[in-house]
Amino acid sequence: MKKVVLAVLVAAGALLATRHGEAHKAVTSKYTYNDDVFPILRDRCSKCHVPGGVAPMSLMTYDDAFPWGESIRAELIAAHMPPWNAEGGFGEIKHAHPLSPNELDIILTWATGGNPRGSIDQKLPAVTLVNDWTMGKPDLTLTLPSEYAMPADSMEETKEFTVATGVAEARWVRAVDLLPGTPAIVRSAVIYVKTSAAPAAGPAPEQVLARWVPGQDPEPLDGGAAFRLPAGAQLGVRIHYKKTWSYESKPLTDRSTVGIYFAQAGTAQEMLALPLTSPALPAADALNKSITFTQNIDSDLQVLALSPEQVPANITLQVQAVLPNGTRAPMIRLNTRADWARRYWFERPISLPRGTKIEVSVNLVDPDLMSAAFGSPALPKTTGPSTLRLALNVIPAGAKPVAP
Amino acid sequence: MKPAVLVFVVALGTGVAAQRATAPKPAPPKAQTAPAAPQLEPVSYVCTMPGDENVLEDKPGVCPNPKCGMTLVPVRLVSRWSCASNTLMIKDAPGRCPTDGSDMVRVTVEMTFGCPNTKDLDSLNPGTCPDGTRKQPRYAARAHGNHNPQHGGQFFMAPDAWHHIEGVYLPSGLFRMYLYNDFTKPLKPADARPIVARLVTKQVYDPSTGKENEIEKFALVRNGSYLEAAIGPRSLPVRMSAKVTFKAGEKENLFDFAFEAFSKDPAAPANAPLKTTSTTSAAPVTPAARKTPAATVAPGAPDPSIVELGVNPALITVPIPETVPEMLAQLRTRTDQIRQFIDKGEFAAVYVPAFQAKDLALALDEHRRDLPPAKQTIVRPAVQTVVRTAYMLDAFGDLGNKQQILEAYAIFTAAVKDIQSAFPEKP
Repeated sequence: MKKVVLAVLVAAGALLATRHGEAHKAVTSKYTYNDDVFPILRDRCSKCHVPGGVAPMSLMTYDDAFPWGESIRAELIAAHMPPWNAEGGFGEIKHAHPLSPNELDIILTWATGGNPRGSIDQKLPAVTLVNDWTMGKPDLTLTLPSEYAMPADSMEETKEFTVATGVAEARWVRAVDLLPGTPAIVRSAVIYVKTSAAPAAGPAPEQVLARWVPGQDPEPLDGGAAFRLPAGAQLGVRIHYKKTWSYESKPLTDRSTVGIYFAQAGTAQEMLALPLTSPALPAADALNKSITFTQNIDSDLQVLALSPEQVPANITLQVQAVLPNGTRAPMIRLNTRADWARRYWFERPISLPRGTKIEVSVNLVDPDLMSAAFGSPALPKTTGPSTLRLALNVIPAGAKPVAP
Repeated sequence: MKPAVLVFVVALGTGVAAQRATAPKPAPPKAQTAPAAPQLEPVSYVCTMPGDENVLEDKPGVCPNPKCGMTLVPVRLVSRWSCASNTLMIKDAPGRCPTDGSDMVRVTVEMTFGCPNTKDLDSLNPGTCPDGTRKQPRYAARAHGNHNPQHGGQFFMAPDAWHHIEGVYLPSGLFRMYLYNDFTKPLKPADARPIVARLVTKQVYDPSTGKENEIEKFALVRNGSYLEAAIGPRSLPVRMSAKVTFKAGEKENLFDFAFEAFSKDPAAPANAPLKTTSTTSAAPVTPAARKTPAATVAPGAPDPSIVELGVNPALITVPIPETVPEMLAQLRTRTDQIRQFIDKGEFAAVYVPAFQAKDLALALDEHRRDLPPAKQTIVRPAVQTVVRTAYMLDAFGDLGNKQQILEAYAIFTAAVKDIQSAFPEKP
């Protein structure tokens, strides 16, 4: 069954690439691949769209890119690519949308206007996959205990691994990264501290050390906050493996490595997680597809990040803080998509005094107008979780750094 | 969007960019050499494999689909002027069609050179015929090279990018829907046969179900190469929607028509046959209702209210102003123009002011650094959204679904308002 669904997805992708193009377009783009488009693709997209990368196609040569012109156009217009799901202008998020407006216009003009190459004699530098630690060598590397063999007949799997850290004493951690063994199939990963503690309703130590997605650099915590790694901790590593069509029917293996960067200072404030959990979401066929729920803040907090922990794909959710004086502070507005759940770091810590209400508005209407307009083939509708859960990463305001 | 018109837009845009980048210079002295021969448009290479027709290369090779392996075919694609009603009439410059006096429209066509009375000597390049005369250019339509109405109506592309339709509302009260393929050729009977459609002239939103209740609807019945229904003469402007299923079991497609005036069909008398299909108010469309209409042609004088719909090329000759307030004012004007086109049902024209607004927003983005940091954070994503939704409006304009266009326009206008709120109105 899963294979059938995947086949549909692949077919859908291929169809999207060709269905609403203007065949035999005259060349109307003043931008060429060689001079204008390639530098942008190289700088912004080459972590994935490169031979051996996790994306379904390389875009690093003209011959690679031009057949996908229509798909590029559709993906950019739909805001599916680059994969950044937070809307600009609502809250301030670090490393927001990597394409500038001008870069977006250049690629769209090229993709729409006949995909001209430029000078046929122009040699472009070869771009190869770089699979290395972007923050430099980690303080502690933990290779997964066993190799995962992805069978030829499987296209998508989620596997859970347990890794012993071997740390003799508790340590503060400023960042955790993942180095895929086989980048082409490592689609996302969650790295967390295994614990037997029951889920808390209020702020509790954050167990999730990293939400890894391809192309995203880790965000080092160089301020007062850090993740706490207990002595003798074991890490859970949940990896979502996914083949692209080019690896269909091929067996592949992976043995990824977790990298841990310890905080330099001996003291820090522990990163906490404050869960935001919705009541039951409306049914898919309900008339009113919107709900709003709130969470009161009982103590002065600084909010550093937000993670969608359990959210349906293809919805819009908006988070804002209503301060005690009634002021509304926008935090984030997300158009959720499957496979791209990451941790969103705020540009600056957001100070929330006691008495603040966090207001989460959820709209279950699919915000993807392009798919709706072009009647994209019936993708499997995920019913999603019955409740929605986010986590705010917070530290108590004014608390003093402590030893781990 | 009409690709051929985009050539024009881009050409103008290039000119505008050059205008902004450089100060006016005195005209260079005229060259004393003999005038050069007109430069030919470049040769492209296309894949003729069904499904890969959009592959267009600028060098020889094979189709990129490894399962295909076909050799790319050389073609010379050019932008020319044609009669909407007669695509064999190709001219190098705009003008009036000799057949019906209507304005010629831009089309993308494939150009070859040939000799009289034979196709054997056709070539991509100019040359000489056996009798010593120069080969003459010949033209053939390309897929999606012509999105212009062929019968004076409103022309839309279906979301499958292959079917195209044109809705025509005639003074006799007859609505006709012409069916075309991606070359804007009438569908062959085998391709047209599976198509089922109805025309909805009145519908009301039911909040209890969240759906539209169709109060008045008509079966669109086949009559030769088109579908039609007699809805009677109505006061103008009038709106109606065609709901079309191109193949049994597939999703229904919605095409919204807004007729400011009756359509003028250059290929046929304006007073077309009056079909006798009765109004099926709130009644289901049944196969029994799809009967062939009676033909009662009554030729008459053209209706003076008839207007030609289409893009006024004058609209796109807008240079980017020098000052921010002027850019803001132009941005507002273009945004309003989009709304006017939507309200009038001229969806295919929406892209012109949308692309102009996009260029204005990008020009404003160059002034972003002059703003306080808090304002800069508003402008960048807003300009990005304007760029993205301008292309979305362009894509949706081809489809003719008003609700979709309005949804895209809502995002577009919200972003424009953000830009306007960030920049000071006065320097």
